[in-house]
Amino acid sequence: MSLRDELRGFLVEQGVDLSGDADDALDLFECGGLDSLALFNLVLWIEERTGEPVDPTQFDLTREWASVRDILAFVGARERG
Amino acid sequence: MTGDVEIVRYRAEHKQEVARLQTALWGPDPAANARYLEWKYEQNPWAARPRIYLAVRGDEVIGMRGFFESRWEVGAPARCVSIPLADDLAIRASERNTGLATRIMRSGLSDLAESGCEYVLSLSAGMVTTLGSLALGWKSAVRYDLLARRDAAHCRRARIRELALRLPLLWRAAGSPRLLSRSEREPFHRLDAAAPGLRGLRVEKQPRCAEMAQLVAEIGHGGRLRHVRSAEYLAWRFANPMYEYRFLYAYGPEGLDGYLVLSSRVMGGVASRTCICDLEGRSASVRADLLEAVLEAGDLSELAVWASTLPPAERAALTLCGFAPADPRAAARGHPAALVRATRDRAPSEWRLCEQPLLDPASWDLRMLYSMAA
Repeated sequence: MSLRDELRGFLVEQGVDLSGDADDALDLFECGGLDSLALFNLVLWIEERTGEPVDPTQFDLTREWASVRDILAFVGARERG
Repeated sequence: MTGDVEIVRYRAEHKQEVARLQTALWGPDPAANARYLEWKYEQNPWAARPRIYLAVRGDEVIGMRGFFESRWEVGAPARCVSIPLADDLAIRASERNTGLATRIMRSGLSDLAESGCEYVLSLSAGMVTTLGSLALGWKSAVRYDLLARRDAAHCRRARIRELALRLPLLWRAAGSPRLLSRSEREPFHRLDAAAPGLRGLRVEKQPRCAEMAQLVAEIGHGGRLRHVRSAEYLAWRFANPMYEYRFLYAYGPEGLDGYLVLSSRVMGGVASRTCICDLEGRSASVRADLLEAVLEAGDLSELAVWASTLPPAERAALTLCGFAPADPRAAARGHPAALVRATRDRAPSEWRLCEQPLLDPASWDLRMLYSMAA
């Protein structure tokens, strides 16, 4: 399974509606899908994949985690160090 | 569904419903929650009317976010400003993940902006609430650098509790009082017993608010943002029904030279760490004497303090006394921290009070006393 599919599956588990034509650019904050608990679980999910702690106070998460595409770019940048 | 939900400001007739909602936050007893609510919002010395925003469906309260009044002084000479402190976020379990918390917060911020509040603070948010706040435009102003000093027995019991939580049949036992030592159940028993002859210090259960306030005023400060510590505020603050306190006083020939306040949570039936809620003294040696007395006589299984805004020498002294980061994993995530937000749209780089940039840790003198964490 690709990282994208894993992430989309994870977000659906968190209650984010990615059904229908929801593409990777869908704004997860605007659609109201990412509540605070889902955000916490997303921190853990990213930490698990990158092996590094995530400090969400050091960046604007409404921009860096706005969409599936943004989160994948965030994880990719972390993995590249 | 949130479509039929109305956001309203708290009124007295909501009290029992709100107290029930708060049982998810502060323990199962609605009466204890009602007392806490009354203390924080109704008896607050600076609030004319409780500022709690409620999500109501029909007659039911399904969500809440409270802001309680606080006054800060900043600059030299000091100017006094009101800044509401965000606290008490609760959403009924069946209504979570519906955007309700965001809706309550947006409505509250709009009302606060209309009433002239420029900024709001959050000093006691857990990690989950912190993330929700960051998503709504809050920024981290200061990390607290929570340090703790733990004895070996405490660490062993903590490991046993952690292990029990993971086991299918034993997880219920993890919260059992049997796993608590006397120092955890009654954290002040050694200090109280040692009180009569403790290095010439006085150990008392009651605050000497007027003397403490006078000392704070006489010591003054360099203009960093700090909470007003008037006698009126201290009297209210130490009436907090969630905690019990001990006050150590150092007297000199002229009167009070310093004090140290310890807190331990009593509401909700949870074992909590003992915290240094506030420490003040006319000199570094007075403050060191107070701290040494607590360490020597208190026999506390866990003692915690916010260290980020302490002078470097005092921080180093804490390290020498055995204090270490309390939760390195949380610290790596930037938690716990003071959060700030402007109520109106404004670039964070412009968030200032009396020329002090609010997102610069050097602008702050923070103590646990100012929060609801102690």
